[in-house]
Amino acid sequence: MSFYLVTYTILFLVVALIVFIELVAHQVIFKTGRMQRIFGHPLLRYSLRRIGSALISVLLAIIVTFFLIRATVDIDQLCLTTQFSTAFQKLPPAVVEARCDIFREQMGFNGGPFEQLMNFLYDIMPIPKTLCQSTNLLVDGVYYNSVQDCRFFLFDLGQIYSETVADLTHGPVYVIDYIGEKMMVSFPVGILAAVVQIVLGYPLGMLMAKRKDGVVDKIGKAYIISIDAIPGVAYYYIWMSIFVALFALPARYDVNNFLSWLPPVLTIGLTGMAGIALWVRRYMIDEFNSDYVKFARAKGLTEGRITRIHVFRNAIVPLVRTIPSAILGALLGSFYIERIYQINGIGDMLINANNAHDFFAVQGIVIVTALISIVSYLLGDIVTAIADPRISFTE
Amino acid sequence: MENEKETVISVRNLNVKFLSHGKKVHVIRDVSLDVYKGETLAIVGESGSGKSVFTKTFTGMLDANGYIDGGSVIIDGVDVSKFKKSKEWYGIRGKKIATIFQDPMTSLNPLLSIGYQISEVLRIHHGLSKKEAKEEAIKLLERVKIPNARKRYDDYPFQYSGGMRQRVVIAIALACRPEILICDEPTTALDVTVQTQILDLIKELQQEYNWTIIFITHDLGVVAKVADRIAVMYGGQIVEVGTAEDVFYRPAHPYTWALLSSLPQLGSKEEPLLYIKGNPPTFGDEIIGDAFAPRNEYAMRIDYILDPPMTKISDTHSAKTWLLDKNAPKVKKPSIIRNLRERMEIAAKELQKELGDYYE
Repeated sequence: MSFYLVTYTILFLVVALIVFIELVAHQVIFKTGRMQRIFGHPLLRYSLRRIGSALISVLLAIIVTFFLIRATVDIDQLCLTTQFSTAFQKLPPAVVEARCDIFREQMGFNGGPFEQLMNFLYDIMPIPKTLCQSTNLLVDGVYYNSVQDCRFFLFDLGQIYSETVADLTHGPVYVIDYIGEKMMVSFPVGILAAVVQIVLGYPLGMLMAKRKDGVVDKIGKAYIISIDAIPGVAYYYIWMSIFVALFALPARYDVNNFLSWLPPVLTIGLTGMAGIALWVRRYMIDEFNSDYVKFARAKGLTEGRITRIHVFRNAIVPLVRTIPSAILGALLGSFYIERIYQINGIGDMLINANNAHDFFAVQGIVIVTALISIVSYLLGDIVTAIADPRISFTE
Repeated sequence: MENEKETVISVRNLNVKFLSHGKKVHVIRDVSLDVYKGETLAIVGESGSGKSVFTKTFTGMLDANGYIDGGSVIIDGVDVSKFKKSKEWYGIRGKKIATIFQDPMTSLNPLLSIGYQISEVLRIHHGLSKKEAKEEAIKLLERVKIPNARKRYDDYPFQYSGGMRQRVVIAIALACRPEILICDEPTTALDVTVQTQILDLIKELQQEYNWTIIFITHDLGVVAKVADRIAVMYGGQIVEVGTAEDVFYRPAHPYTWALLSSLPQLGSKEEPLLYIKGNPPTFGDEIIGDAFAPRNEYAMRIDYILDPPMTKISDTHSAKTWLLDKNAPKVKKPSIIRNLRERMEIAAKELQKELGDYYE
């Protein structure tokens, strides 16, 4: 019960905050003063609008996914292959039919397409709800629903039914929980890799631009070009062989052994660094040639100050928008890298779910991916707008 | 009179070369010039005559492929042409010499507030605290006649018009508290009425702060308005130098004649507008003799063989032409030059009438 109270309170507060911000922005209340400055700030209202339109985009993406999956999945076939152990043909048709009816309902396939969509949307909407699922129990070649498992949901993305995706022997596994669990596997490696990319890429680009055609620039360019020229899969394996054969690092990721973190982190980091350095260098060289840098020099500013305050800051404006997506993208991991180093993260889960035709799992990952990319775009836009005063939040 | 003046910049036999596609290009060819304290020196010439490059050597701001190849630039007793590292320039740039560039639209950093860009200079050069720098910067903005300076302190360049931005650029130059101000075509990108305001402002500030101003321009109208002394540049050399009076009323070099003759303001409606035939030498052409000879209707055979010497006409006036040689034949100056004073007076009257109409 308390879950409901908390969730409704939070939902109510969110709605109240939106109404409040709109009222302040339209100067209905708090026409001047500090409250107006804080809550009437165009950035707040801009963000709200962007979140609103982003949510609509997510919803559309979800509906498209919903129909695509219904178009490709044969639910009756799926029932026969997953709900009966072997020779379901021997069972009386009525038993099969009755079992498949339950399965259909469990999977949200009962009723017409519109009803199905509405049920589905209700499940994924942030409306507090208690949903009951049942565990399959194998009796005489037929899986029966036995243990009722009821729990509170804010979002429900269905449950996993394929044993190759998740271990189902200890009760039902919910997609939303499972994705969360897998993200926690992908995230540490992903975020470290993102940090390595940024921490190495930006200074490298900066050094290359500052001493254009110098030694660092020449080595850097050679490195960037070789990363660019070799296909991704190839250099992932090249890195792997360097780390494993040359530095004797473990080839298999183990969360408890920090040394085994290095190969995946460095593989992503050292590869991604090249792209970042390339763009930082390019934008900084542009800025170094600009008139205001000449004027800054004429003002008597030191080269160091010009590089830091004037050139670097301006050069990264087109690049800061990629930072939120780099950080949030870490939640999803890299499919290749997770395969190569056997990290059981999201990438690994998606491949398994896809092979097993576990459509709730696939659908769940698609929805979460869409959500993450839309949120990163939004954050990217906001960060860019903060970095560049020429971008205005008002229309 | 010349001896009483204090020399602030003394350039002797300066040569600047650029390395372009593996070839050395001679851009400034053996130029000597003195700049006196408190004067306004205008350097005029066509695009590509080397006037900007020449002044860039005073602040060490040649492009990366350019270098000084002989000669000296002495500022305050120090030969800055020998400077190698950017550190050596910190005492000159901004502190002693400030520069205003042609395009105010691009001279300011678009992502930093106007206030920051002014107070930055005050904090670095004069060690003011953030708060002091802000107050001082607002005073400077008011000094260059930015309305609502306090309110506009936090605005960004894109919120200012072109003329206002050039005022901000001037305010930044003011913040440097320099002795010498180099104005590199400061009004070219502005429309005529704003040009006049900016020139007036610069003149006003010059009197207040006793600046020495080096004005680079190809606009002889601007020169007539501001200059005490004029140096005419052609093909990387100074071909004539003298007071404004000398150069406008007693021009001695055929290039100066041609320049003045082609001023539309000085032509009359009956005569066709004159122009200088041919093109200025492009850098990379090997110049033998007088660079202007191919376009010069008064050119003699020697002009194609030997570079003319700088010949002194009076204490203040010299020109670099063989026509001043004692063996040269007497030539008749073009008609516009002969009655230049009358034509100028007529032009001034017409301009006044036009401006009168404009302001009504």
